Amino acid sequence: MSNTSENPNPSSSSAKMTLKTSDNELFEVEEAVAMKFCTVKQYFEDEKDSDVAARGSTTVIPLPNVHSAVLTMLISYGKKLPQSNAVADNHEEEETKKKERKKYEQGLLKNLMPGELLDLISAANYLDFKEGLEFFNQALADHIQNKSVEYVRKFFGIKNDYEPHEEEKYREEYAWAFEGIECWLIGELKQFMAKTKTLDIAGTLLGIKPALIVASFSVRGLNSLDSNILKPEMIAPGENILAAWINAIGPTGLDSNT
Amino acid sequence: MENSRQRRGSNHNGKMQKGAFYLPPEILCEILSRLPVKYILRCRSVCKEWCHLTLGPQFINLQLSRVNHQLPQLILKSDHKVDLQSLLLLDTEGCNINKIPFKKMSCTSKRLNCLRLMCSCDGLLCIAADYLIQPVIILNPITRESVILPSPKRRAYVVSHQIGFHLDPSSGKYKVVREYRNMNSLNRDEGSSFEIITIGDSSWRKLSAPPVPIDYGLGAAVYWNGAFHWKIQERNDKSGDNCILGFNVSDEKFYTISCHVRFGSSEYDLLVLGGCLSLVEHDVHLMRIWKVTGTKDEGYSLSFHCTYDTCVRWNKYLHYSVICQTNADSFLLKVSREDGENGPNHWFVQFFPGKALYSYLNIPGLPSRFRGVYFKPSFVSPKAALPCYS
Repeated sequence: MSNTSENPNPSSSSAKMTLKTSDNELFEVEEAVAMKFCTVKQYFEDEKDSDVAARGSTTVIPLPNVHSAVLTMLISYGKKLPQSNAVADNHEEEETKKKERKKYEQGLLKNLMPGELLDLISAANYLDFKEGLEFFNQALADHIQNKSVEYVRKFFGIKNDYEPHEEEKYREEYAWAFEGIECWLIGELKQFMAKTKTLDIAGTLLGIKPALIVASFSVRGLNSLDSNILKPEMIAPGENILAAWINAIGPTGLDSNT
Repeated sequence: MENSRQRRGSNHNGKMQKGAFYLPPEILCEILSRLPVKYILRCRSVCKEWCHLTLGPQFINLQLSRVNHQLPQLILKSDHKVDLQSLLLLDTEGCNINKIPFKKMSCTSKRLNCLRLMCSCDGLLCIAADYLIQPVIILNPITRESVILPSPKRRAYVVSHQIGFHLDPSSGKYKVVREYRNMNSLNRDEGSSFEIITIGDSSWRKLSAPPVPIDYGLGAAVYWNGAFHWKIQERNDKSGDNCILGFNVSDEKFYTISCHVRFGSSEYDLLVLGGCLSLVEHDVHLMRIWKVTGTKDEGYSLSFHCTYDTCVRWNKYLHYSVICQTNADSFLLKVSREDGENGPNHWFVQFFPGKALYSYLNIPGLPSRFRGVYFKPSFVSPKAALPCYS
């Protein structure tokens, strides 16, 4: 602020800075957020040393390597990070904020084109925005993880400088690393399989008190298919259990039941 | 984002136009080090520059420090000579499974077939024989480099072989410490022999341990808090309370941890649970956990922590060992069932003591008999410690 007596606290939320991008767009950014870009912070501190009076909105910090679209995203990510000067929240508030941030991050990644990640990383590196760099690096690593070598080459625009026989030899030696289905469906499959469980014999329990009592009307064995099996395969507790009914009429008369 | 795409000079339909997108090597290192090891291997074949980058020490150290903060994986080797001819690498939930064949390893596969996994550190495996004191091999299964440690001139048969392998933080070198009992020494009431070697040395050095009898075992000495640990055989221990023998890697000194309860002849597992050295006692159907408390200066002691009812009456035909505590309320167990002439059958279960629940882990390709160790895959080279390597 040009009038330093009005705002003695430099990190109050109303302090703003102006950043100018490569396409000559001006962004007014809160100081707390802009300070996360260490390049900006350094520039600001250098300016402060040289000229005490002119601070904040009168100084325009040029960022010739950053495009406005990229800066918009970096700023909005920076806003969602916990502010270093914020009042310490209690545990619950912290947890909710964390969850919100995770949701925001997932949403951000969904709408992002993979190619944009490279621009974001490049800009975050130029601005020395550590948290952003960490996040976008991880996002890029996650993206290229299970992709084929050809995809990775195309993505980064890299030319293959191996001879065909060299590449073939390498692939043969490390064949195990090239196995695996590269399909986004595998994630869905895993989710599905996790929901099915297998039963396995844990052993015979002895000495458990009180012993389980089977209701008088329940079957105790022999198994009708194989008389070598003396006990029923599975027992569950409860009486008067309604196990199944025809589709036409449910037990409660409602449209759906669980 | 139209403008930024034009600025980059290539379009996303895959047609390459001007130049490749430039990322400084440090950033590329950062990104690649976040990938699982399998994909890093793949990325080496993208172009020669990437291959060079991932072979450099900066990348290797970065990847190692990242993997050390993640949950360890398990690497298994089948006990059958004919079965698989590979190591199986899996994460503790059993979701990702990789089969690493060892026919391409630098030691002959014939040798590797008869050897067992003992322990691992920083992505390097220590492989040795159960009943012979040589050879001992340090191998990185990812890069396939290996180093064979020097052997004594005479073959010696042993009945117990417990090896500890870890980085000595004070010297920055890898040390291997082992305990073994010569087959011939049983009659003479001789204790175990202890030897140590730093990788790069030309021979093992004998260590003089306190005269406590060590329990027979085949496998790893447990590393915790800068020291290797072995369980003391209480039956024969004349000096009383001692339960665990520890050996500090940096100052190369022995110490003992005492306990005021005798465990008798029940089965147990010595391992690290939740950051503490613990003894899991198998008492028929109960699982009793004892933890080591205290500090290096004031001394350690073993104290009771808690008991779980496993609801299964274990016996010599069906027994288990605890691999790790996967989270606060579940343990990963390796169950072993004797199958008569075929020998034991092994498999994994997850045990939830709070709910008295077992969950069988269905891992395709799991050999019927195996030994596994904790493993954090990395690209560290065992040869880097050798004196001829600059």
